Amino acid sequence: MTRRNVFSVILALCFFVTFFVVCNQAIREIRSGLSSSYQLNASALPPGLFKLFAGEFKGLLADYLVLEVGSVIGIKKKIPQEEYAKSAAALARSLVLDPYFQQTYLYAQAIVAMEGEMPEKAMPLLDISREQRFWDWRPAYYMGFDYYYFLGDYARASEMFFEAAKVKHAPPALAILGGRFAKKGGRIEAAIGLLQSMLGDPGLEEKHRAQLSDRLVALKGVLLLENSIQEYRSQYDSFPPSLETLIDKGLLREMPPNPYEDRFYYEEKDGQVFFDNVR
Amino acid sequence: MRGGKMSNIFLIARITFKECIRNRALYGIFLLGLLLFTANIIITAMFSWELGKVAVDVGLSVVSFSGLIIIFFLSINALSNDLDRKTIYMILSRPINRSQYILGKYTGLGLIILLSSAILGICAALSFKLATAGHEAFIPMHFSWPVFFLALTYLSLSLLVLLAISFLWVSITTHPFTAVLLSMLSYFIGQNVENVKNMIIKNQMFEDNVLLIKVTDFISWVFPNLAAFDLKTTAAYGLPVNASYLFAVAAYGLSYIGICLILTMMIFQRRELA
Repeated sequence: MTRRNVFSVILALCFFVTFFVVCNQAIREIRSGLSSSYQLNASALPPGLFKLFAGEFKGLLADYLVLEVGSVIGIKKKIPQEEYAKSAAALARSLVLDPYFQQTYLYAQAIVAMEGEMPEKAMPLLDISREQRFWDWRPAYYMGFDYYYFLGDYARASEMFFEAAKVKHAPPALAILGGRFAKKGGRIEAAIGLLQSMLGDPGLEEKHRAQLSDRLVALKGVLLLENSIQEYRSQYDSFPPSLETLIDKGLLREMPPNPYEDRFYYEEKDGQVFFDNVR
Repeated sequence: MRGGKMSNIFLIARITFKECIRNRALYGIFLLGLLLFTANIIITAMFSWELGKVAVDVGLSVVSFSGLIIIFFLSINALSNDLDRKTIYMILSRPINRSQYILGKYTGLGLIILLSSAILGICAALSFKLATAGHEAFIPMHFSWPVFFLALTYLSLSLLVLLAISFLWVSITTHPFTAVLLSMLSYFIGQNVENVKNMIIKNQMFEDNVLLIKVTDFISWVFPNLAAFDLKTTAAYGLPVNASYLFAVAAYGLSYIGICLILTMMIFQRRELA
């Protein structure tokens, strides 16, 4: 190769390298401005198609979709509301591919329900995880929380907390929480039945047995008092002025025990009884 | 006599195996194994919960992917090249018949697939250990190594089924590219036929379309149901496994391989090689 040829090759190489560096830098700058909303396009495709194209790599694709949603919360600027809806759609597709992944339902709760304030979109996703992850109490617990916190549906919240409490190794406090919401949601009898069945579990630790027993005794007391109040109301066409009136009128022999306080709390305006002063 | 037939099959298998090793395909697989190590650790670190699940997903998917590459680009070529380059005459001029040649080739290439699955399977297991080291709480609660290796075994069996059907395509077609395309199509159909069939049966829109239902049903009998061998999710979460299901799938796979090889041998016997 002559010196001239070598010079030409070096010149051509410099030319291409310069263009490569300049163009690559420009591309990087242009693309750095793209938010993750640009990347979250997966939600436009129907879930069935995802399953079809993913084939045996559906677990990997599910992971990828969850990562993609994670990138939405990774950016620092304010996230528009439609991005949360897109996240919910992407997580729904991820659950079609892998209905067991823990990170998917945790994102559904943290991003869609809590940050995006879209519990109605998060709930069906949590429900899939609740059904599939039979060993995990958290999906039902989050559903219970959403029913209570966002939707104000105490009966469903109680149902979900009890559902979570029934899972092996779940904290027994969930049943206690379920009992509280059962009272608020008017499902005391169902809660009593569930607590009784949980107390029948021989594997229950003594400490937890005592906690559940206390809640059972308190709920039984509330039920007895509320039934007596209804009886009073049917006779006198009004709510009793106090709980002691029930004893005076012969509708109740004595006050039922309350393990939490020295008395039950009563609201005359609607005839509601509570075992503590939390409303 | 039977011993002679068997030794012929093993001879072809040994030659095929050595050819593939000489082809340096296994170096590529080793490289893939090393990349898997790194990739698995990096990808898993991007997740916050159930890292073990992601590590199993990545690990077993790489094993499967490399097996598919071996089938589509190495195995089909190995068989087609013998026909194209007429090297098959050298083999068949010896006291080896065409059926022994097919069985030998299948055994040799099958061993390469099993070897690759074993190497990458061990890499996947090691990368799982590395990726989850110090994060034991983030390994799915019921994860177990026997189920992981069971998934690896069934994954290898599905690759052997695909290898058998690709042999059939090579024997039918005249060009290796067509055989590769048909094998890829078989893989795609095999992975999805069950899914599509269920979608059609459950969809009211297709309720009156008897022909479509019958065609889908027919396809589901002709092509292998490769999705049935996929135990990656089971391995990732340590989900309960049904022994009778495992037995049925293994018997299904082996019988499918048997049918494909017999058909390949029958077609190959009548094929004009000149």
